[in-house]
Amino acid sequence: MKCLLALAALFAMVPAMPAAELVVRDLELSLSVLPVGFNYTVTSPTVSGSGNDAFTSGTEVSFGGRYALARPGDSLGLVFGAGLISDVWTYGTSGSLVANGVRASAGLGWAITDNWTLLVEPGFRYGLSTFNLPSSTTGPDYSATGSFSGYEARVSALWQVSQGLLVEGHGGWLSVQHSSTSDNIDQTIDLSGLYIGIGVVWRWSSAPPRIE
Amino acid sequence: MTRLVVLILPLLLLCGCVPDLGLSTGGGKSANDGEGLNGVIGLATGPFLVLDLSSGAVTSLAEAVPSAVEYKGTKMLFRRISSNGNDFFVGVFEVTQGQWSRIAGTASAPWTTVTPAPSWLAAATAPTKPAFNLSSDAVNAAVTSFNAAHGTQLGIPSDGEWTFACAAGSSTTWSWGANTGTPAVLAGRAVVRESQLGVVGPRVVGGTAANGFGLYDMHGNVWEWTGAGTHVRGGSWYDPAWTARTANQAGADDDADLDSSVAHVLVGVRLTIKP
Repeated sequence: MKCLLALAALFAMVPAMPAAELVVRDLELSLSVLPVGFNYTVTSPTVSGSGNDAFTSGTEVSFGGRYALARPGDSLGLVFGAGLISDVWTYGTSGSLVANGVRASAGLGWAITDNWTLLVEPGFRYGLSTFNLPSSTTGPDYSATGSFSGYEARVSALWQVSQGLLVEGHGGWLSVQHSSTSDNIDQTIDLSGLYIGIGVVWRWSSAPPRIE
Repeated sequence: MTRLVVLILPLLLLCGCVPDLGLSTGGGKSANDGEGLNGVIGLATGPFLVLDLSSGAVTSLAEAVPSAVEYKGTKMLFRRISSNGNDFFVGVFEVTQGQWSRIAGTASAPWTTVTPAPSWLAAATAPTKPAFNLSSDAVNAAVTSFNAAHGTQLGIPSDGEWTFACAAGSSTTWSWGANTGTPAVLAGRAVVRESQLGVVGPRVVGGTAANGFGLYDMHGNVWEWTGAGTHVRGGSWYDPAWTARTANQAGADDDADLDSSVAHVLVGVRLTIKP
């Protein structure tokens, strides 16, 4: 809630800032560091367990595009995005949770200056995930495939390096649930927390919207 | 640039983001310490469970060495049995006297109270020999008390569980795949009258070959309580081999239900557990 209030205050300052025109027609390749703490449930014919645990690390590589809808001359506008995501969390020495899917977002963009753009993008993600545990002293190797879904809120700052090249930094909140079934074992992993990342952006066009 | 920093920094501070990025492993449990998700998956998939009779802790094992003396004393080893998707865990051994004293309390030694005391009683008293002279009620009381104290789920196998575990996938009279039990065949496989060769009293558990599921003494040594506590199965060292068949139940002499409150000198128990 505090974040929303802060964002509202930030955007309320827009009229006081120098005008720049919002143009977002981007392709982006980004790398993020994901939250690692999670809650889990396991239900099998012999055991039902739940608790909290943590992955050793979590990273995301994503590739996608964004497009802004803004009137000519406006520094504020709607921004829509979609892309592919590939997440890998490592667990212990050789366990892992691998998730591949899609992400879609719709939010607001603000061209702060000619070189700086700020995006606030709530989003949704969905895909398939696989959890793997190697054999250990406590049990045989285990693999479970299922699906995941989640939502997020991301704030991104983009800096234009050259005509078509930008670099981007982002941070946000992610909440995602992975569900799988294998060998009569139902398992859920609920991850949530803050994440940060960087990206490289190709802006294929900087032309302002056409005035009809 | 300066303007942006001025704007973003208060935003981050307002969100409380800076001190709590949550990007480390935090307070989570190690993936290999037997707790956490790894531990629970182990309990759900591991072929063995070990119950520490001192702490009540249940842990899973991918592999076990049943001959380890601790599994006949301070701990109990259980084997996962998969029956049409309904897994259960059954004791690899009959409950030993050492284990019984840890479950029911050190003062409990029903095998010493057999009256009149048979001549073989002294030789039959040893921590790694099966507990005997147990009534079904005594077993249930001890298990209930232990479960309440340690949060475990020990129990007595049902008739179906016991029979399935004993057969170990076989459909023959004996779990080793034979329909006849000559003394030569029984030797090394079942502690029954024909294989005792005059020796009296139960033997140390695990002294004969395990069945196909890795369970010892399913045929012979001591009878084992099953189900509602009115049946025993598996025969004993004293009884003829035919009473130790996989499918046989109740007493050696008749098929009548037994009195759950009455202890029998030839009867012990094998336990199950739910993790």
